[in-house]
Amino acid sequence: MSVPLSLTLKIWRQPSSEQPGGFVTYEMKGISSALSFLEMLDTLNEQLLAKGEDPIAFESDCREGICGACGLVINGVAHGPWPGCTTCQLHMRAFRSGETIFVEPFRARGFPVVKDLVVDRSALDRTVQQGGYVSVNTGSAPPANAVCVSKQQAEQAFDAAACIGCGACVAACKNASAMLFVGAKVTHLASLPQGHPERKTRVRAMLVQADKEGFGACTNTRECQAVCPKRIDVSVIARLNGEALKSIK
Amino acid sequence: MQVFRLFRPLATSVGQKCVMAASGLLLVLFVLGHLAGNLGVFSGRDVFNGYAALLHSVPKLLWVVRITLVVAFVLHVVVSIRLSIQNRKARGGQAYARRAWQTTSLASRTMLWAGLVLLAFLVFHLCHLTWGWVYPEHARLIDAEGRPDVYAQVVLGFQNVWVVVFYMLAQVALFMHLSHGFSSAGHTLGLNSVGSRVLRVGGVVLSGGIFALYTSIPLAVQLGVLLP
Amino acid sequence: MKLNAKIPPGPLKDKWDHYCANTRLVSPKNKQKYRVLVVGSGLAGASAAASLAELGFAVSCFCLQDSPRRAHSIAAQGGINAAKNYCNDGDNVYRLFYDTIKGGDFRSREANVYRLAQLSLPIIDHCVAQGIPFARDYGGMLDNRSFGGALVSRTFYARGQTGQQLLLGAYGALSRQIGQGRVDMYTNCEMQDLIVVDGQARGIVVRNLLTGDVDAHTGHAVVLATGGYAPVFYLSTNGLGCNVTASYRAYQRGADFANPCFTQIHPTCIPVSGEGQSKLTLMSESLRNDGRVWVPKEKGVTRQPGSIPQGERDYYLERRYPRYGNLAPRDIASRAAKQVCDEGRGVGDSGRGVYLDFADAIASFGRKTISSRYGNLFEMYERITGEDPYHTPMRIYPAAHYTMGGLWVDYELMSTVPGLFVLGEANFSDHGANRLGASALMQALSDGYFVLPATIGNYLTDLPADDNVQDAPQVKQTRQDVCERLQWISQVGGKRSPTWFHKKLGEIMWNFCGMSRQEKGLKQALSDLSALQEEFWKDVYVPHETGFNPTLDKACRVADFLQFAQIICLDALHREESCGAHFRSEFQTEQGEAARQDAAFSHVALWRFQQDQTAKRYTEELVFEEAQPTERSYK
Ligand SMILES: Cc1cc2nc3c(=O)[nH]c(=O)nc-3n(C[C@H](O)[C@H](O)[C@H](O)COP(=O)(O)OP(=O)(O)OC[C@H]3O[C@@H](n4cnc5c(N)ncnc54)[C@H](O)[C@@H]3O)c2cc1C
Ligand code: HEM
Ligand code: HEM
Ligand code: SF4
Ligand code: F3S
Ligand code: FES
Repeated sequence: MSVPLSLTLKIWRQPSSEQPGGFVTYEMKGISSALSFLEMLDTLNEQLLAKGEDPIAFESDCREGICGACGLVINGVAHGPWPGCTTCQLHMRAFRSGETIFVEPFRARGFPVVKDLVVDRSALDRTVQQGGYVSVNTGSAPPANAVCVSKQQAEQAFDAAACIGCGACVAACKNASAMLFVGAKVTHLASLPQGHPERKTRVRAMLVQADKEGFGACTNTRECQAVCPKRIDVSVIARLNGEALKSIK
Repeated sequence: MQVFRLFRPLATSVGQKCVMAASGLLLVLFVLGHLAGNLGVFSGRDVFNGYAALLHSVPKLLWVVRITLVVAFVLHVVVSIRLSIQNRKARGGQAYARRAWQTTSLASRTMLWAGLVLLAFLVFHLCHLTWGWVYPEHARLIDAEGRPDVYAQVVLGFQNVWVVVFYMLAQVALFMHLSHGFSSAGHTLGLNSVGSRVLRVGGVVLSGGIFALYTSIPLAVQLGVLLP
Repeated sequence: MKLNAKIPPGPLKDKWDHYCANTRLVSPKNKQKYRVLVVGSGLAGASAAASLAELGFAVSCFCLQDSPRRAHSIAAQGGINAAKNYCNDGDNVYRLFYDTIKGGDFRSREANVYRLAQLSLPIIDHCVAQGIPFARDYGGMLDNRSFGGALVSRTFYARGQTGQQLLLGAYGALSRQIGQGRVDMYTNCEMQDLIVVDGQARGIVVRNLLTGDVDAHTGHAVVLATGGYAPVFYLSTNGLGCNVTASYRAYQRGADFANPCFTQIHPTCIPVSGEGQSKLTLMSESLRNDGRVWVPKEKGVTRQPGSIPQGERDYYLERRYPRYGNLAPRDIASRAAKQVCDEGRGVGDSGRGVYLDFADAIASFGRKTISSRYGNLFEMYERITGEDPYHTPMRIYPAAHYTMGGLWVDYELMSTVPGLFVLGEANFSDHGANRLGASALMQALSDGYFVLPATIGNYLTDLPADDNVQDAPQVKQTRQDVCERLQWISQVGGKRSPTWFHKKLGEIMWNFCGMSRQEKGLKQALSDLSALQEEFWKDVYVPHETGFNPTLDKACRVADFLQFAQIICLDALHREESCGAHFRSEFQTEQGEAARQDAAFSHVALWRFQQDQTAKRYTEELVFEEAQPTERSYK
């Protein structure tokens, strides 16, 4: 069932954030359409290693769309052409033989390039560290069923909590805004009674940090939602804004 | 300093967006009100000039409105330019070689440019109709009842094709600006319960209506429906 | 050295309380003077680091990934067990304890497993308080489902992403401590060695994966929570970064390795599709609640599944295990799949697959219900295979998934190196010879949130807080050892990539030490492995990059896997019985079921590193006072 593909890859290579980068062209032949996109790059890397060349740096870990480590901009779309799908889950069936594929890193000021296609996304972690949690010490929790959470609330919270922290939203946004990411966390916790006590401080602290990290403002262009592998809805951004407004009072 | 602490949320990008949305919506209100007034031109010289005279007969109110508008406008423009610069910076030095937009509309990507066209238009528009510097001869006209003949001023002005073209261009810019701006403001102000689809469609319909009605005036003059 | 599991006295159900009431504690004002190094930020590591920091200890935490949130715990799908008895179906702590002991085929320690069952209760309370969006019923209460062959519904879940949600909870707790400056987080850091000073674990040497810098960190205790080693089989359901390096280095520094051959093969994974594949994707076990497993009755049938009439299908799990049917435990379901494929009845291009068919479920519940239950899994399956499981049955095959074996620990989770604690999948754990579904998350969290914070004090109180080993010669020496090793690997200058060796290793392990093992095969594996290892050190190629060099990262891990694989095979060879996931074909009943040899093997096998690079076997006898070993029958 798998078909061999011939492809021209134009891959961004950059030795480090201080040095300039550029595209390098690679011709690939006989690539099985059953491979995933990253396995195709693995294959290319094995070929490069065999020639004694420096393999292409890119990130991945789980390779099943949940850890958020992977992320490439493929033909101008973060995570590539399949909607609701991470780069690691994209399979070569999505491409036709003879096609030219551009591969670039997630670009944003908040995501400096480490090498080639690897970028530093620690800014997202630092944003969470400012308040993307419930402050509960181990041992202090009440019995689990002591607080009711309606099914609807739980579902809403889950929809937002599904974010894998990949940063595709930032990469795709014309303003490199991280509001889908921040909005997802704020919505997740604001939807649950457990998140209420810190509602105001959380949203403010996370917003201040996101600004500090150099992410842009959201102008509601919704590109983030289109590339988000977990299909997080932009309504979380509206929710975030609402929470921010309420926090002034 | 206490005051600053209160306004600290406004210092965040979301706070600034709220300022833009609020000022933008205020400007939308003006655009709607202004439109309603302008449509009076179809009711004839008498009604239209009467309306204009009425406005000027309550100078206190007029100035309150004007000052509010100016403040909103200045805030809107200053903050929008500031944020646009910030947003551009946030993108980082290296642009994508390829960019295939999935949902982002042209309108949403060109808000600043549409805004700047509007700014240029407003300067011209004020010179034209408020201060009467473009056609000083039109601005001096007086109607039969001794009121400034705003009707003639408008209709005579739109005899010039280039003026009309510029007005139309500005209306296109306004349409683009509002077709995104309206729903955007809703989102910015946290209206997530309305449903973003309703907000978006509503925004496009509203701005389409504004476009159609505003352009009807210069078009009517050019087509000879409105005569001097 | 005498092994002492330090099991507290008293009746089983009082042991943990007894321990907690009598253990020694560090005085509050001294806590911040003690630094604990936590390696790993998965469920076990993140929960431990956060909880210790909450108590006031100074904590450093290390992980491989660019963010602590990406540890492989994130991938767990099914759920987490807890004996809450919310379903009123007769569950309680004892039953969870018993099921876990029996599931592990009576190869785990009663006291540990009982404690695990007890602590399952506060775990859920704590996770809910953290804002984890567990599934709820319409009344707003927590929902449960039955999972992995349990007769009660005790599994808490958050759609098919339970591990993700639990990890994000622990990551949130950890982030809070990092933000408040109480945990120093080191991301992109790989532990390369353990620093032992005067017989105590006092530090680690790490390599920064981005810069290549090699640094030593010292403290008062070291906690390993570095996960499992399933990628020793190359293809597995684990993440690409999962490795044995940290555990193996600790082993070389004196920490005994327990039951390395207990490796779990998960029955429901997407089959291998061909060359170049880098991992196997798990299809949640929950699918077996509605899917029916079958293969054609005859060999070599290549027709489309839809055109094979009912009479020509063999629903072999339902046939062989009428009571549990398609829900038979993992080891049993995996082995049964292998058997039918070995008989030539497997399906798919490779002949290594069985059908998991939803046609009947769709017919009785409707497509909509099935899609609401498994929609995301079906979508994932279609993405990977290009086939639509609503119309064609899924093809599944077992894949390496989880490792019950790990570093030996006592009741306090301390290894045979004083001051080295081991948590989560990295320790030899509470799962005996086979882990039941939804119990690994429970164990990782109980270790990290509750056990370690209660036990570490007992060790630290004996250590003066101002005892600083920063300048000890062992620190410099260990760092030196690491640098030299990195040098060696880079200087081999051969022709083959580390991945090539990893694949070869995987083949050997899968063929000879996978779902079914045999003396002859294991001996073959041992000789193949030492040949492969020799070849590795002659022919591996790593580019001479200083700094960022993923090929070097990989080469180091493969080198450790190669050595470690030999201990797995040795352990499998010496355990002359079948138990749980360890199936020695010489030891089976007439019906082909595992035949345990309790008289000779009712023990934990420990492997101790010898200076001449060999491994020596020791044992810890298992004593069963409450749960009497019985035949583990799921008929
Ligand atoms: C696909 C899948 C599905 C699963 N589903 C379930 C389920 O439904 N229910 C259930 O109970 N269990 C499930 N499990 C098992 C369970 O997820 C794991 O056993 C558990 O999460 C392990 O947690 P951990 O904290 O011990 O290790 P991990 O989460 O693997 O964390 C290891 C950590 O150590 C770090 N690390 C590793 N090596 C080094 C090193 N050398 N130096 C520095 N840091 C290092 C890593 O960066 C990581 O942070 C599943 C497992 C898989 C693979
Ligand atoms: C009649 C005049 C104007 C009206 C009615 C108007 C209205 C609006 C509205 C409603 C918004 C949406 C706010 C939000 O996103 O939350 C907006 C955004 C914006 N406006 Fe205006 N505006 C006007 C003039 C201008 C001018 C003169 C400029 C230019 C300098 C400008 C630049 C912008 C920019 C850059 C944005 C942000 C883009 C975005 O949010 O997507 N506007 N405007
Ligand atoms: C066909 C379209 C338009 C017509 C016929 C029109 C007509 C006029 C007239 C006659 C005046 C002068 C009123 C007076 O001084 O008594 C005026 C003023 C003004 N117009 Fe327009 N206008 C049009 C479009 C617009 C648009 C699109 C905008 C803004 C986006 C706008 C903004 C203004 C402003 C700000 C003033 C000054 C108001 C004041 O003096 O307080 N106009 N317009
Ligand atoms: S919101 Fe979506 S795109 Fe953004 S980080 Fe989360 S999962 Fe990735
Ligand atoms: S793409 Fe950017 S502008 Fe807002 S809606 Fe998404 S963050
Ligand atoms: S590698 Fe984990 S999401 Fe892609």
